[in-house]
Amino acid sequence: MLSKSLSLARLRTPVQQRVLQLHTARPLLFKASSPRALFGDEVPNPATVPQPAANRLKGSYHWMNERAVSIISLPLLATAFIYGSNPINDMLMGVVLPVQVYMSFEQVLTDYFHARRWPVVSRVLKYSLVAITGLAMFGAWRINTTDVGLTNYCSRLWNANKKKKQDDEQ
Amino acid sequence: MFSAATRTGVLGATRTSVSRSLATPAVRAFVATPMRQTEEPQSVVAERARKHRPVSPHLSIYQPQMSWVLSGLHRNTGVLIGGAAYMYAAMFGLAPAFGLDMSSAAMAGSLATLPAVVSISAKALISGCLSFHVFGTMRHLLWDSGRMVNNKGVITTGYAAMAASALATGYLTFF
Repeated sequence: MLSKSLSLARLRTPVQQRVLQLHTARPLLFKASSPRALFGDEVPNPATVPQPAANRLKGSYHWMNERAVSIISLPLLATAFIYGSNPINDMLMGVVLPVQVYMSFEQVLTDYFHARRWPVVSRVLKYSLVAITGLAMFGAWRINTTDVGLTNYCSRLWNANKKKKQDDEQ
Repeated sequence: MFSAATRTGVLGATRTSVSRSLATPAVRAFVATPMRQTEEPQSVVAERARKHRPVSPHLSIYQPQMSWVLSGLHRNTGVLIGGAAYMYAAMFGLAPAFGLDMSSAAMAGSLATLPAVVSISAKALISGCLSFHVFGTMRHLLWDSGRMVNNKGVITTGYAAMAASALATGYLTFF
């Protein structure tokens, strides 16, 4: 391999010869990365190797799910702040907002307590996150059903120290 | 270790009063590593030295920039607001188990007695965190669609988000 390249190099300019020498300085490395060196005689046909099934909760699908949840939360919040209370909006918020907070906290966990370096702590924190998300969704459902609804609840607490009581506006 | 530097001065210059003061800072934290016992293996000694070794400044010397300050603020406000909302909603869900009454009437009654300073500062904190995080979310979605992904875009959208959240905070806190 090296002698072949050097013989062809005589036909090139000095600069090209030097470049060729540099590029073929370690031919063994290039040889080792060929499929034959890795697989021997049974080089598999890439077309016949089965691809893993697409998991709609992993990878780029997960990324798109995060964006979808963020996009959906914006009109929900806008409705709550601008229009006011609406039972369907409150129910949707009680589902979408915990899911968004869960996905965001999952990213925070992966950033600071990745399972590779923290095998136990990351697992404990992830289970706690699932538990508290479930509890929060249950609490939101309870506010929506046994109390006045998320929007009205927040506005009553927010305007508690005002003299007049506002129910459905703002 | 430092005597070599002071002999030739910083950057190999001659040892003047200026270079001497530059080479040996006036205040240097003295970190005492415990004395080595003769029978300790090198790994133990190295571990102890690593624990006592001072860390070079990183966050304290990096110039505050729109990129990382707003990014950190987006994450911190999200953790604050999300965590607080989680805790509150979870407590509401478990309230009957603990015999707590967290209905809107009861909570509004107890919040009405708060002094104005406490209620206004609490409202400012909550509405500030929430509005900045919401406008930061819009900013991130804008980037995810491929728009304004350059230095100028980061700065422009950053100022827009800060202005919008300042207005929203002012409105929500006082009206």
